[in-house]
Amino acid sequence: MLFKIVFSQIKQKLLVTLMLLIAMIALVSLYVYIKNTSQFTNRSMELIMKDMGHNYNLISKDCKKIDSYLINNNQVYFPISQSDLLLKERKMPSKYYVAMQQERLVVQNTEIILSGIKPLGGNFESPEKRNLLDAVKRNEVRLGADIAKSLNLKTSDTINIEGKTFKVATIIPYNGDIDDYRVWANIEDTWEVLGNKDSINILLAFLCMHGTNLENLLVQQQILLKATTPNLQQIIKMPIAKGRDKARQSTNKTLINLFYIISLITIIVISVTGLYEVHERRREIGIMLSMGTSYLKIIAVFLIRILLLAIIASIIGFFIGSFLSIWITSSFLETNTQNISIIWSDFPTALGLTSLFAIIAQLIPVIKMLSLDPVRILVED
Amino acid sequence: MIRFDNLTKIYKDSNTDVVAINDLSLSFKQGEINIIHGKSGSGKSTLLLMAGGMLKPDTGYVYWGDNNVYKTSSLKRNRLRASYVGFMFQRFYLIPYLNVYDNIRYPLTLVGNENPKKRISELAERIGIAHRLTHKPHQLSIGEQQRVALCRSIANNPPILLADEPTGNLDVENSKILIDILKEEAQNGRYVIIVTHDDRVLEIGNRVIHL
Repeated sequence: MLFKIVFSQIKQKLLVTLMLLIAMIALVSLYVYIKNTSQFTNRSMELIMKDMGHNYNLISKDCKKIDSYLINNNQVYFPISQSDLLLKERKMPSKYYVAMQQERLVVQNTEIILSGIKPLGGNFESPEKRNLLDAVKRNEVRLGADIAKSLNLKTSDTINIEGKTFKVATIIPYNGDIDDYRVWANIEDTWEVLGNKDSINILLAFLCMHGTNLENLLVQQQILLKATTPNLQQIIKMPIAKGRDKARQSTNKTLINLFYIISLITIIVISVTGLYEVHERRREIGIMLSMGTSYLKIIAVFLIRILLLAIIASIIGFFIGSFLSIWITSSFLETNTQNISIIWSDFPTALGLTSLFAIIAQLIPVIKMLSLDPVRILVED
Repeated sequence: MIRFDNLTKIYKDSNTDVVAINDLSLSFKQGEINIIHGKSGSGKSTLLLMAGGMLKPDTGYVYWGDNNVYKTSSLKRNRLRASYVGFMFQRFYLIPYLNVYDNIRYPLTLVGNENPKKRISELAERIGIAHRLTHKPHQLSIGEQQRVALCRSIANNPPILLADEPTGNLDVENSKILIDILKEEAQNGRYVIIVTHDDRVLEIGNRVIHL
């Protein structure tokens, strides 16, 4: 009978119910659309930031930073095994480590920076969340744009460095920094050429934000670094770190503010409609109470109805919002690895939050209803 | 047994106090039709609402059998009302979006009878609205609406039937039909209390109480 009353009431006030449903669907759609767009925009911005290179480097505590910046002969080597200690510390904000041996050399009268690399860390959780540098195969090199131009080398050509011959595997597009002068090789090869086996002079890394603010993150990183590898010192590239932080914060804050606005509008729309409904149905409520219906049953009718609407609105709104983000956002947002798609993991949240806010909003008319005196209603007539 | 002991109800106003009922004691016999008669403002409806457990008196008690109505919690009073009292109003107050069948069924669900098809069919047949069970209230005549309201008030066999101006909106013919049904209900062993100023109804009363 309870459900019969709920459905009969919906049928009786179909227009009002439809308006309420449409309003709820519009709000859920808007939220899902903006959330999806923000999530993919955030991801896209993160990738752009990542493309700008490692924002966190570690060198030996005995090395002057200037020597590392200039890549001169005063750089200090440290064992590659130090990186294992960092990898084991899961709470470390820095990730995506690349062990590197770098030295200046002259090849065919041209100064190059021979950079032997070994990406560390194994498997990563998604294509976006992977190391910034790919490993270089043995006996191959990857050339910076300026070096390739100076030495007049193309892909598949060979280059002799200190008596060892390498095949040019790739020529990296122009970057506008010192990387254009690097010759990237496998670290096993550079150890062979330069010596200092099992040692590196710089460890490249990337500071991940994990949703926290930059200041807290740096403090945490400093503490953990001191505990795990006290012999290393950090070089933080603040503009890149800050840029990444700001990008994440802007999208997150926009999303949170939007969430508050949408929640408030939802509550207002449902409450006002509910108050109107209580006023319109006061005579029915009075007669039901006079027959011995408990307030609980009448409240249940109101709550079941709004819960049904919330469930329908969250399902339809979720799909509309998701498809809008796929159709609209994908037309202008470039993502390198993953296309904009439906984020199924957001569905329970959309359903739960819509239902929760609907119930909260409906409490206002319910409180109003509880103040109704059936005697007064019946006597008024 | 339904009984009022020393009932008093005073409506307090900022300037004056209006005494609606003053120290009224009554007891009612099973199977009798009791008419409460009086002019407007004499306290008839107040008395009916108090009898129905909906308006607490300032002093005094209302008993339904052994239950001291206003000494119980409002939750228990609701439950008692659902099984003890059938209310009939001058303006019928049928639930507009439910059809006749569901309007009659509603009070039965309150006492746990979720499938009362047989009971409703018998009742509708007796009251003469069997052909109207699938209709909505707005599709019925005034007389039919009042008969549906009566059906609803007696659907779950409450021992007490309270009727507030039951013929107030009816023509002579429909009033006669309704009066006959009320008589039958009393003969079936209900306590029938009718508030009216309709002189035609006075004739059927076993007892007339003037306020």
